[in-house]
Amino acid sequence: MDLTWNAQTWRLLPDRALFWQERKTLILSDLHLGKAQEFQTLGIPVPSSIHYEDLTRLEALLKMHTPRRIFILGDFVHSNRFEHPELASAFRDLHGDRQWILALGNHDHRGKEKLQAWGFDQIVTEVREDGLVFCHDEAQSDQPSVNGHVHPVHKFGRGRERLRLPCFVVGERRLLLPSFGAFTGGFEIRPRRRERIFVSNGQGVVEIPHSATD
Amino acid sequence: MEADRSAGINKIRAWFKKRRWRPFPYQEQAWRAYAQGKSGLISVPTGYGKTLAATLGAVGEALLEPPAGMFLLYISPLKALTRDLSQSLQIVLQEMGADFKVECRTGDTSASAKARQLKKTPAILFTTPESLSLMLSYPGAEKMFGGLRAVIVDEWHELIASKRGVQTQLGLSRLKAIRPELRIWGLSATLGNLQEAAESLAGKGAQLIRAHLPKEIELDPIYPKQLDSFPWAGHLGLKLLPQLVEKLSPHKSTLIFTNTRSQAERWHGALQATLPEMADRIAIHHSAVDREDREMVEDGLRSGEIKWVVCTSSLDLGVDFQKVEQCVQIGSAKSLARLVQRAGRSRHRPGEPSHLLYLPTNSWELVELEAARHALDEGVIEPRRPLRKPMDVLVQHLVTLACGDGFRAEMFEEVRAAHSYRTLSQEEWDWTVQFIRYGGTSLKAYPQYQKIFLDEDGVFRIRNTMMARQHRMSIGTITSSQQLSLHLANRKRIGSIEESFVSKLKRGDVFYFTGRRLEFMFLKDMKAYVRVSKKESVSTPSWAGTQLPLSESLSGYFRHQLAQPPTPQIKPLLEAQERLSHRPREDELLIEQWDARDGRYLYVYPFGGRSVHEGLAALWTYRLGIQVKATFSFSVNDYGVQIVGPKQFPYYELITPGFFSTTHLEEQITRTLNMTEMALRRFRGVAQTAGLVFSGYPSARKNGRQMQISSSLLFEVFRKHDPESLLFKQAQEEVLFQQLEIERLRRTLERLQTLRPVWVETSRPSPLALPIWAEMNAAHLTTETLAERMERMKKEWSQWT
Repeated sequence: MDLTWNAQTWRLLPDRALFWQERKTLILSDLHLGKAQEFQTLGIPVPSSIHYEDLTRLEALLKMHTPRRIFILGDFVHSNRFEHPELASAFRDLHGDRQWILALGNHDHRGKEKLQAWGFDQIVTEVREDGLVFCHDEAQSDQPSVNGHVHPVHKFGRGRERLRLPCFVVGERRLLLPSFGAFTGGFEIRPRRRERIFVSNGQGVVEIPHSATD
Repeated sequence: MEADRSAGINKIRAWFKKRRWRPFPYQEQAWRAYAQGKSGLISVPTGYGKTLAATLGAVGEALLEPPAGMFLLYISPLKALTRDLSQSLQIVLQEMGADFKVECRTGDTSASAKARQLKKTPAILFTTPESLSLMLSYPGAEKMFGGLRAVIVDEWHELIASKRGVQTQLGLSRLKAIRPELRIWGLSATLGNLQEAAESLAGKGAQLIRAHLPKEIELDPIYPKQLDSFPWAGHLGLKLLPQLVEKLSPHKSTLIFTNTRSQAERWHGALQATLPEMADRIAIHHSAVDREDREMVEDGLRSGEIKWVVCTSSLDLGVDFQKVEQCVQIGSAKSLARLVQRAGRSRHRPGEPSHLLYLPTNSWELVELEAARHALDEGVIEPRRPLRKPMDVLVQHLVTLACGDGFRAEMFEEVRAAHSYRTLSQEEWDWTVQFIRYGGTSLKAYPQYQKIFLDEDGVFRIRNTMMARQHRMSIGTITSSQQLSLHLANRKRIGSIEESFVSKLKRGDVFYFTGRRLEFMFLKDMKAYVRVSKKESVSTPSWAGTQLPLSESLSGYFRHQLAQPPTPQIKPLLEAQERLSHRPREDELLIEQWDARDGRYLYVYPFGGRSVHEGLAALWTYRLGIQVKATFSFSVNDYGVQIVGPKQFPYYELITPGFFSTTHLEEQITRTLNMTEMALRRFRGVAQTAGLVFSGYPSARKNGRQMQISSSLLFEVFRKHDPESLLFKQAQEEVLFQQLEIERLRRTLERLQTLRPVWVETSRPSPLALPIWAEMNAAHLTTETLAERMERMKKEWSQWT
């Protein structure tokens, strides 16, 4: 699904990521790597292998869209309590001849030095380009922004056909990404006036007309 | 020794004599059996002194052989019951001159009282299954129960078929290991499988003691005056309100039973509005009403200040209301056991039947009434079966023991001594221990996980005190669905309410609660805030309360009744069915097809009960869908199944004998389950019981919705990464065996194969079809992929606007 937004061309990908055509940049957010281990310490057995799936999907995106740069808009790791040497090494293997930029989120804010292990080229709080801000939480700035953080999902349909799917929210001033990580959950979002909702069903991205929303 | 023991019985007889009472023969029998060191189950109707039959054997013995510490443990499913029973036993003990300390230990007991009990154990303790588990989760349980002689489990029929019953079994198994001589006695209402009930509680060789008492119940129907205009569908029944009021007396204390909380609210409101002068003396009682308010109602009923109480199953058992003079049942009770139980709540003289006023809410319930009468005359009652090795309860129990005195590998045999786990295999045991030790069978998968560890003495113990604390918080949560507390704007708490109900409310929505009209304001920190409103209620409260299926016994009588020459009351209905479609005989299977604007409707009437029909609907839509790809929706009731498919869908061509086949039944049902959310919903309870999700993290408090998200996420994780997990499998089995009752479903299909199909095309829903059509909670099932569905829905959107 291609979209013009703030004079640029954006492709909304069913794998819950965004491709910025003019700049050949792949943008994704909220992987929450290592969340499984956090659950394990609480006595809840979530297998660590779940995160490798996210990397497999990421690898497929890199092959298909050959981006020059990758922006990850925060909450890359769920916390910096643990180190994940094997997972980090698998992630570094994806690096290739590309620029990887991480904009920090609330989950990876503390213990920044541990993030070095993942091999990012830059770790920043935000990226500003072409009058746009790329950061984790909806920016307070007066410029339109691309964000993650809320893990938006949308519930729609009527009566016997109701679905709840991860979605992109596109307004004049913001573009919200669904969470990329598989083990992240979602927040049912209420779009603001004139905002458009695009859901991902795993195979394609479909815009939901307002008439289908309750 | 034998002589000494009967000397104990003489003490009891002397007390009876002083009171000028004569023991019932069954009471004597129970005391003797106790004195002989036996365990067993006592089944007599309420009002015949079964508590005395169960407790006095142990008391009489203790008078002769003074106990050291606690000698009698009394387990009741209800906290409120422990309070009442302990008080009345105390009076008996005083009169007998027995100086035994009697105390309660439940969730309501203060922390200081609990601490005192640990230091100096009372001679007799009243408690609940959860509180017994909690006691076992602290070190020192072996000492606390070291002198125990007897355990009594009250209302075993309420517990037997639930996870709380399994929890009770496991707790008893532990106590029996501490005290091999322990005698276990259960009390139960009558059941279709009393011998099994006795053995599941008290072990092999359990003695069954029954009183042979005369006929118990008489149904007095309230018939509509105008049969022609009595509705075919609906569950509210307010149409007969004036006739009910005629039958009630402001001086007679009356329990009015409804099947759902929303129904109770509506009836309570309607009665108050009809009889404003009675308003203060009409109360409401259901499980969402706050405990203090419920106790006020119970006390009011005892003192006579409150005359009529509209209630749900919350008053099915419990508090002995000597004062209740009349009982009313609104709508079908769905099972004979329930009818008997509810009728038994009213006072009646021994030897005479108890009366139950029966108020039907729609015409079909008149047929159910006749069926129930017939069944009661023949003395039929339903069985309740103990659960088969639920792994989540075992996981919880083992962690409980690890928190307390710890457990060794030999615990396997102790667990297998519990009836529900008698077929537990070594592999299943190993899996369970591995699961709580390493998180799963693959050691690498969960590097940070460790709930229990093996100490150098070979004892499994909990890893740390934080985990023990977390676990104890989750012990009480076996059955509860997520509840929010309900507050007025001034923060006064007025009750609790299901999250699923609140989540549907928008600001300003008005609903009824405990007779008050409330306007929803907002939700904050697990609290729903409301204010009293004068606005008309815009949304009828639709609590998600599970709808019980018509029991298998009653279904059989219903089919029979349908084919009989009708009584005058059901004649108009059956004639309409005959005129608009067909009235099936016992050897016929009625199938109707109706072309509506939104699709082609198929109705099949197995009369097998709601739960079976849910499974049949899923199975049949699957079988239709693999032949011709389409999306169906279905809804069910106790009589039949409605399937809605696309216009012109060729049902007639596709319904061949294979449609009713039982081959690949389980496999096909399981496959359809993957497409529905049933297993996921079950998994939520499994995950909660097994301690995988809980409402209280020590650091950040997660709210109910977040908890649900994690249980659905967990479900996905297990499905993809650990499909062999026994907890994941349990969720599926619960759907198969409990929710869909697959064994009953199989029997139903086998019966349908022997019937002659009668195919009718109707021009509008027939009287049988209408109630199903009116069911709102349509489930859906599809053989299209998500993408195909999205595409089709997209095309439909244009039509919506």
